Amino acid sequence: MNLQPIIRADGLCRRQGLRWVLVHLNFELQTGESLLLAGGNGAGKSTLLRLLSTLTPPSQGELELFGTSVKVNRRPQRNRIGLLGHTNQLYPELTPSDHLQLWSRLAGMELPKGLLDRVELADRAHDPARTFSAGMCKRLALARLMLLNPDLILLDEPFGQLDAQGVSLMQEAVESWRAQGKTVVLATHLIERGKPLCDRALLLAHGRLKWTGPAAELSASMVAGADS
Amino acid sequence: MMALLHKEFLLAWRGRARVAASLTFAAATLLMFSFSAGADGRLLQRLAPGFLWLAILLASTLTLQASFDAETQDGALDGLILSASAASIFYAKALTNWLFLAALGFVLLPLIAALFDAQLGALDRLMSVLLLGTAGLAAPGTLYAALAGRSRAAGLMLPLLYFPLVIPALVSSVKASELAFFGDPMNQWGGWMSLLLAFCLIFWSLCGALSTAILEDG
Amino acid sequence: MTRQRVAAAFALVGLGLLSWGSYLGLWVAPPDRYMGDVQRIMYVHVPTAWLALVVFMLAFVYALLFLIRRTWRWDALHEATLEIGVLYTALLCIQGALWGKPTWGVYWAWDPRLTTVAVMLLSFAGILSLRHFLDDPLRRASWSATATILASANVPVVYYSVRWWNSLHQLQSTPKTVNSAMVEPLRINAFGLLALTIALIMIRSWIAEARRRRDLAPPLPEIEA
Repeated sequence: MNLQPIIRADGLCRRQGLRWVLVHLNFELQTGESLLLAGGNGAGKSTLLRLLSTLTPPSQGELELFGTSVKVNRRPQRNRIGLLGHTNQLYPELTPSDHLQLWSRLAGMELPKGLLDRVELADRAHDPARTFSAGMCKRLALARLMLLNPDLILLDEPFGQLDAQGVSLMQEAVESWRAQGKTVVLATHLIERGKPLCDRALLLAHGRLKWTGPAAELSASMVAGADS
Repeated sequence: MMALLHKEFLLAWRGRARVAASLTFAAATLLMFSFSAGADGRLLQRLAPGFLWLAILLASTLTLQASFDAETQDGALDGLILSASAASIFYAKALTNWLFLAALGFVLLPLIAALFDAQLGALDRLMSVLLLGTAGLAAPGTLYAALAGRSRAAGLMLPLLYFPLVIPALVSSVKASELAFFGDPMNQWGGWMSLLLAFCLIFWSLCGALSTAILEDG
Repeated sequence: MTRQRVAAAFALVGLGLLSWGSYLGLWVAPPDRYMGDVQRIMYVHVPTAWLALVVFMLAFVYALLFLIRRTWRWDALHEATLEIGVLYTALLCIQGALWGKPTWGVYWAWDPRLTTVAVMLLSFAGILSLRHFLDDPLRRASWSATATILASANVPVVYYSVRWWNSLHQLQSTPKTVNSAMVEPLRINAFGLLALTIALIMIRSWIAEARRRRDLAPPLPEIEA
C-alpha cells in the first residue's frame, strides 16, 4: 500500500510579477482524500490550483506530486491530473463532438459513448461552443474531466455559472470520483456547497495558510475572520 | 500531433471569414502599393516581386496574431499544454500558418499578373519560392505570435520582433521571385533558394526548441 | 580586490588606452593616401564595430546561459550586454554616416556590413523594447533570452545573404593591409575600448541585479504563535 502523500508542499511560494501571491505553504494530501480550498477573493486559491496542475512552476519551495518533485519531468504527472479552471479551455468555433474527439485523441484514449448525455449536452453536440451559455460551457469542461478520468482532480469554483441541475451534476461527479478513490481538490468560496463533498479543508488568506483541519469544522466566520 | 493538426485545420476551416479578410487585406495593400508607385508600367513591373512579398508579410501579421487568439480566448492553451508538448503545439500551428500563407501567395499571383503586368511564365519556380518563402515567415512568426498573444502590447510586439528577424527570408524571396518573373541569365536561382532553405532549416529547428520557453508559464 | 575596484581598474585602463590611442591616431599617424584626414575616424569606428559584435556575442551567450541555468545573474548580464550593444551599434551607424558622406558621398548604403548592422540594431532594439513591456521578471528574462537567441542566429544569415550583392564597404582591413603606423593606434584603441566595455558591462549588470533583488525578495514566513 503506497503511503506516500499524493501532494506534498513544503515552503511553497509563488510570485506573480512583483507580488507574492502564495507564501510558505506547507501541507500534505493523501491519495483518495478530498480537500476543500477556502478563502476570500484574491486569497490565492486559483494560483495554488495552477501550481498543483503543474501549469505554473513554484517560485520557491518544494512541491511533490505522486511522490516526485514538479521540477523533474512533468509529463508523467500531467497525464494523471485534470484541471477545471475558471476558464473552460474551449475553442469557440469547435463543437462539443470536435472537442471530445480532440481531447480523446490527444490523451490516446477511446471516446466513450454517452458522455454528452451525462452532461446533458447531447442535443447540442454539433453546435459551435460560441453559441453556448456559460453554464453549458462549464458542463462541456466537466465532460472533459469525465473523459480523461485522471487520478488527481482539481476544481476551481466548479459551481459558478451552473444552474441547479448543473450543480447537482457536478456534485454527483465529485461523489463518484471520491467513490472511485480519486483525489479531489475543490476550491470555492461557497463553503456550504463544498463542505459535504470534502474530507479536509485548507483556509488561505493573502497567500498564507491560515488553518487546516476536517472540512466539517470550517465555518463562514472563520473564512471572514481570516481575511482581516 | 495529428490530432493537433486536425484541430488546426478545423479551426482554420471554421474561421473561413478570416481567410477572406486576410485576402482582401493583402489585395488592398497591393493596390495601395501600385497607386503610390505611380503609373509607370515598367517601374511597376520591376517592383512586382517586392510588392508581392510585402503584401504577404503584412497580411501575415494579421493571420499569425489571429492563430493565437483562439488559444488565449478561453484558456484553451492551458488544456493543450497539459496534454501535449509545447513543441508539438508550436509545430502544428506553424505548419498550418505556413500552408495558409502559401495559399495566400498563390491566390495573389493572378492579381499581381493583372495589376503589374508581370510574366507568370516560370510558374514552377514561383510556386517553389512561395512555398519556401512563406515557410521562412511562418516559423518565427508563429513563435512571436505566441509571445505577443500572451503579453500586454500584443499588436506592437509581433511586428517589432518579427520584421527584423525575417529580413533575410524576405530579401531572398524577393530576389528569387524577381528571377522567376524576369528570367535568370546569370543562374543565381540556386544561390537564393539555398539561402532560403538554410534560413528555414535553422529557424524551424530553433523556434521549435525555444517554444517551451514561450508557451509554458515561467 | 572588490569587484568595484576591478571595474574601476578596467575603466581607468580603458580610458587611458583610448586617450593614448586617439592621440596617436589623430596626431601621430599619417593621413590616408586617398581619403586624407577624414580617414582618422577609423580609429574609433573600427574598435566600435569589433566591440559591438563582441558584446552581442556575449549577449547571446548570456541568454543561452540563462535559459539553461535560470539564475538572475545571467539575466542581469544579458540586460547589460543588450543595452551596451545597442548603444555601440547606434554609435557605429552615426560614425559610419559621418565617414561615409565625405568619402562616398552618401550617408548610407545597402552592402553586407551595413545591412547586417541595420538588422542588428533593429532586432536588438526591439528586444530591449520587449523587456520594457514585460512586467513579470521571470517572463521578461526568458522571453527576451529567446528573442536574443533568434536575433543572434539571424546575424550570420543576414551577413551572408547580403554578400550576394556587390559591396561598397571597404574590403576587410586586416593589419597586413594597413600601414603599420596606423595599426598601432587601432590596436590600442581596440583594447582600450574593450577594457572600458568590460567595466561598463560589469556596472550595468550590477544595477540590473540590484533592481532584481529589491523587487523579488519574498516575504518572511509567519512566526507560529
